[in-house]
Amino acid sequence: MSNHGHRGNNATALTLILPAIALLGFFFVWPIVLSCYFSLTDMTLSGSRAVRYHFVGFENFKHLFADPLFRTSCANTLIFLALSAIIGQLALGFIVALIMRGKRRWFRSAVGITVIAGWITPEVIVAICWVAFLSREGSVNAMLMGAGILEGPISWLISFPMASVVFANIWHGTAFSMIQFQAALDSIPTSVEEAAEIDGASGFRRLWGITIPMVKGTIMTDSILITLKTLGVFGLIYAMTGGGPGTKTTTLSVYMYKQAFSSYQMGYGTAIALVLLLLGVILSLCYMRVSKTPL
Amino acid sequence: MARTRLRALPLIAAALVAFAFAGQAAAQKSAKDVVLKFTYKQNGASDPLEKWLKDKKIIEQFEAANPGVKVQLAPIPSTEGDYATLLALQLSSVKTAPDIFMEDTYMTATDAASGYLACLDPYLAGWSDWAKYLDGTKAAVKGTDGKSYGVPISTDSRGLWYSYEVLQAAGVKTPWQPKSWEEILDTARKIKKHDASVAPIYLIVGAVNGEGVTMQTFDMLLYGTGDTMYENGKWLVKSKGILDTFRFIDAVYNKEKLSVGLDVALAKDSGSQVYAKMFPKAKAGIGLGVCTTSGNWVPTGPAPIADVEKVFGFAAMPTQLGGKPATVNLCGGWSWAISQYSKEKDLAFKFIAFCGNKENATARSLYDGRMSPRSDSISIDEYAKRPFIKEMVANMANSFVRPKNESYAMVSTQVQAIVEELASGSLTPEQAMAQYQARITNIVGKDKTFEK
Repeated sequence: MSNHGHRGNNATALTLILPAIALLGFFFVWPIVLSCYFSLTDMTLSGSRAVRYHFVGFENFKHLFADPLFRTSCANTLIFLALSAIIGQLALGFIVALIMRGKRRWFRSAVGITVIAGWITPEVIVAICWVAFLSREGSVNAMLMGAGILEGPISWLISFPMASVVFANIWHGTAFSMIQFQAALDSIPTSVEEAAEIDGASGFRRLWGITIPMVKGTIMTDSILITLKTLGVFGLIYAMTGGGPGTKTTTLSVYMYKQAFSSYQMGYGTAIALVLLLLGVILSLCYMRVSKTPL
Repeated sequence: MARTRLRALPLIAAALVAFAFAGQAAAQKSAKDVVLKFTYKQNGASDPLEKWLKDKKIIEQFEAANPGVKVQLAPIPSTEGDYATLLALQLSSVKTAPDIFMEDTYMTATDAASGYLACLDPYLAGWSDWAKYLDGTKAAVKGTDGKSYGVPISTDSRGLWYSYEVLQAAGVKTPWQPKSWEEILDTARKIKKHDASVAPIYLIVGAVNGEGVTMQTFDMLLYGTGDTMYENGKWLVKSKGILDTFRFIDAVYNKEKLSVGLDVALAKDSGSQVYAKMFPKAKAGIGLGVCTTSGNWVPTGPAPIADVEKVFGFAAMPTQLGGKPATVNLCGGWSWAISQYSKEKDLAFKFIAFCGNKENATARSLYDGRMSPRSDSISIDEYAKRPFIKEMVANMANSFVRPKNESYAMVSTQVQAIVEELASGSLTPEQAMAQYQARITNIVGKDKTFEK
């Protein structure tokens, strides 16, 4: 049946879709347009420029690219992204899914529930758990000291701040990748791999030559999703380290918050937010390019 | 038929929403009482302001004297830095602005410039108590336009707290009054040498502690070098004084490791960890603190200590090299303020005036250990007998107030960030000064800065 001649249907469709478009426009497009505008102003949270802000052109962006803290935050963001999202969540999620594949039901449930527990825990609660876990009097020190590996307690959040937030984010987010890979791996027909096995392909070769290419689409989708999510991670880092000590865990989202809401530089903070948005778009395009898969 | 019903759906939904809003509006209008929304910073379960409100029945008394008026408490539980942000956000909209609120006076000029604060001059002119307020505190509530935007709640006095036990054990003569920065470091070295498990000095350096970092650490040092942050309408961004200030912090936290550990120094509750836990156990020697620090040790505080004046001492903060002036102090303080959007400004001022009368203002300052803003408080026995009160008053001899400029609040958060980066080893003192210059210039513009 063709849609031609069904104008009534089109009108209904439009009516039904209109609220969605309106909502999207109001809560998504409009804020982005506003952000673009605010990023070109000297708006502050308080003070005379809170009410009478001026258009300053690309001043904020000029400052931004000369700002050493911005470079530090970019570097921290990329480190955090590479370690906690790509190496951590993506690879670990894939490995866990691979290990669980074809195992008994009870094993899959047990592992699945353990991993998913981290995922369903809200971000700030994850942060509180990890702060308790890593603090001087925390369980990590207690275990390591009990086993005789450490002589005295270490303040992990002070001495190894980036590693701390990376581990917390991996623990929190791996389940998402795992679930995606489980579904993808289950959809690979066993006959393909069996054929390869008969042809004499080793385990690694089968993984590299067959399994991975067949879940390529999932790898790409997952990469994009977790990259965007990780770029936006704020609560976890802010609650664990506040971006510190100093600037050691200040990622772009933390820096944006600090500039906009601690230093009251709303215009400048918005400029950082736009850069963050742009970074997400660029990385997504890169992934699609590398995997040669359209979304 | 089905299609018509579907089309009606959004309409029905819209109607429902409209009804809901109308209902809400009607409910609000039907309330008979005039409600004053009162916002303040809430500091944990044992908040001194809440204790005062409760013990002295402030709200009940005010409501009894003003029938038909209800004071609605709307506390913001947060750290000092977050409070200013959350408050500024609330103040920016007529829908969320409280009528009356507590405001740190460092924000007064900034918030006044944005038009968030009601000018109180017309009210103060007709208020006889105003003459009793100390001049320094009156200066603190002024905007850049010279008008008053608050009634002071408190003022403060800053200096060095020390433990008699720790200093004596290290062979330092007490009562202790260092004459220069070097003497402070010297004493700290002795403490460290005698017992490495004792933290010799605590300076506030965690940005999470907000304004304390700027006033209590950075300013107390900088203003002792002869430099100030702001002179003749311009911000000092590069000087030997700034560099020496950063060098001192670096010596304490990095070079000589004379500080408390970073895990304590950067914690949200670092002040109470040091003064309520380490000081009473003789695990910390010296702390560059404020008069409220003694609030930890009063009978109602978290770590009560009997005869506290024999256990801990208070020394004025010496200037860098001593000489004249010999000591330095920064006065801050909080104020009561009224939102520009308040529809009940007269009543709101009535409430403020009630809180700020001799009896109530003095009683309040006894709860958190800050100084009363009123000159007549000293005639109230309980206040005059408070531990350390003589030292505190004497300490206010060479006092400075923070720059009266609307960019101060933004400059201050940069100072906080830089001091934390320096103390945690991310910046050297030289880099810290370069950062200081770059970030302050970014905020105020190059034409509003100068070098020495």
